Amino acid sequence: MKQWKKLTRDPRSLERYRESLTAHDKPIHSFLEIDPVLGSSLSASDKSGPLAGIPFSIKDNIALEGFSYTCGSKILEPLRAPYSATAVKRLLDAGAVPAGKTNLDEFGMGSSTEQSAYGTTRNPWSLEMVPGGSSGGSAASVAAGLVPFSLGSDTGGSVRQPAAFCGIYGFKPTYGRVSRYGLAAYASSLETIGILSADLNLLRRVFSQIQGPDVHDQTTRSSTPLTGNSDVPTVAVLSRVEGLSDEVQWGYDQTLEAISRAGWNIRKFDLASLEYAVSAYYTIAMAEASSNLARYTGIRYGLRSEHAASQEEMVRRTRDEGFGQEVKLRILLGTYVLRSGFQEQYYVKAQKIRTLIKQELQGIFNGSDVIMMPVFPVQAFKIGSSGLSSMQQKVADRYTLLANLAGCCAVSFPCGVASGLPVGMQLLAPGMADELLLDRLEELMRYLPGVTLPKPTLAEVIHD
Amino acid sequence: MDRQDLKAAADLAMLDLTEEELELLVGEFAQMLEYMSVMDGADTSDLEVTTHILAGETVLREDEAISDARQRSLLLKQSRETSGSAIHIPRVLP
Repeated sequence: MKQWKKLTRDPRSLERYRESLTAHDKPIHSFLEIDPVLGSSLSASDKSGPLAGIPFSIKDNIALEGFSYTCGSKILEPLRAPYSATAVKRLLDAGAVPAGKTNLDEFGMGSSTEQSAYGTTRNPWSLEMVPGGSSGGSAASVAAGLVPFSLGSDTGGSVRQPAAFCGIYGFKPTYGRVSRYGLAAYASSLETIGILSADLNLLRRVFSQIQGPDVHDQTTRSSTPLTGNSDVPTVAVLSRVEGLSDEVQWGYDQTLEAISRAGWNIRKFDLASLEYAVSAYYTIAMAEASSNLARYTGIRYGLRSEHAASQEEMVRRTRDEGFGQEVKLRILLGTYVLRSGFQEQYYVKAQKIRTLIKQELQGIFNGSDVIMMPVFPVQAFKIGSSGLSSMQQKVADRYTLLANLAGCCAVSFPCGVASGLPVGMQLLAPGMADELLLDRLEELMRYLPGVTLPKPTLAEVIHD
Repeated sequence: MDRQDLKAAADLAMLDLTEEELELLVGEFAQMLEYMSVMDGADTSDLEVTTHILAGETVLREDEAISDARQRSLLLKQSRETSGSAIHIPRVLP
């Protein structure tokens, strides 16, 4: 961390860091705005803070005062955040230095960062590949060695999946552990702010700073961190895992072997509700999205269409010009499933399946400490039409979205490299067992080879 | 599901879709709805809905006005037009 702190220690260093960041990010395009000089002016000047001088990046759907707040959408292009999110504020108070805002799929809707209105981010491991999404800019900024950690958001896997694609850790805390104040709403009952880093110890330090109750978010809870119920953990794994690519299957087998070497107990389980999880998740997420995104009308702030005769026409045109295809699709589907006559069939049914999934997972956690699962059935895929279709991407979210539906905590980790690209798996633990989950992961990582990032970090590149 | 359903949803969602956009979206729209119909196979007869993972608890805070002048001026800067300390918006009532 010492080397990272050197980059932000005085105005000259900050200026040099800004220049290097800009140059090194050119081929990757992980950032939408770079300004560690301005960022530093927001950070606590007291250099004794627990994260003093450590730079980080922030997904552009999380507010940082004075910076862009586009959510990857044209509709918010003119906006500058008038305040900082609680999670960001706590990092600023701890002395961390924001280096800029990162790219994402528009409003967090996507798994590749190709759905951004501001261009595609590339995977630092291979520039032809997507970095995953929707926090793809955040993951790429860490994997490219530009910052040591990033804040992202996870609605159905949007922190864990890009982390897996980029060979780093991605942590989705329990719903209610980290304030969502200052996170632009997409699906409020599912999403949390999460952390991406290649350094598990740093990730834990960041989590301990940002977690805890916040008067600005009434869904935050104080917690008594849960402790383990046995010395030798029991890990639950699906009795059958299907449809993985050869490389991801290899990573899964590697992780199972590591669990055995660690001496943990393995317990197999079936998850009958998994079959319905993707449908239920998208029904709920789209319904909430259609409601949350109704606020973007061009009346108070953001984009406003110039070619309208009436107020209603202005709103319709603004939304048509401002939103991208994927966002429109999800708003339309969300509106459809909430229509009278269809609610019972879609929205209510999905919420009952959510209950089923929650109960099934609770049952599994009754006899196990953690669950181990794949993150995504394939590794980072190619940018463009030769990659996965948007429908295939949605179906592939089935392993990550379980934690969001159940509100529990989950963390993805790099378990190795295959065919030149990293492979990631995830551990899940019950709600409020976040610290314990990270303890277990730390232990497991001693038995896995881990991953070395493709390039040296800026902290190593920039010398005095 | 047909084109009319999509148009009706677009109207409710205040989206002014062009014919080309309708054409582009109708396929994916139908595909997603078909995928969602998998849920019909789940037996949920004895289950209650989960609207929210933390439903049932209400957290209250003090009702205090924020008097941060700097934040207010940053906020006002985000709108296109202001009249003093008020945001000037287009006429919304007919």
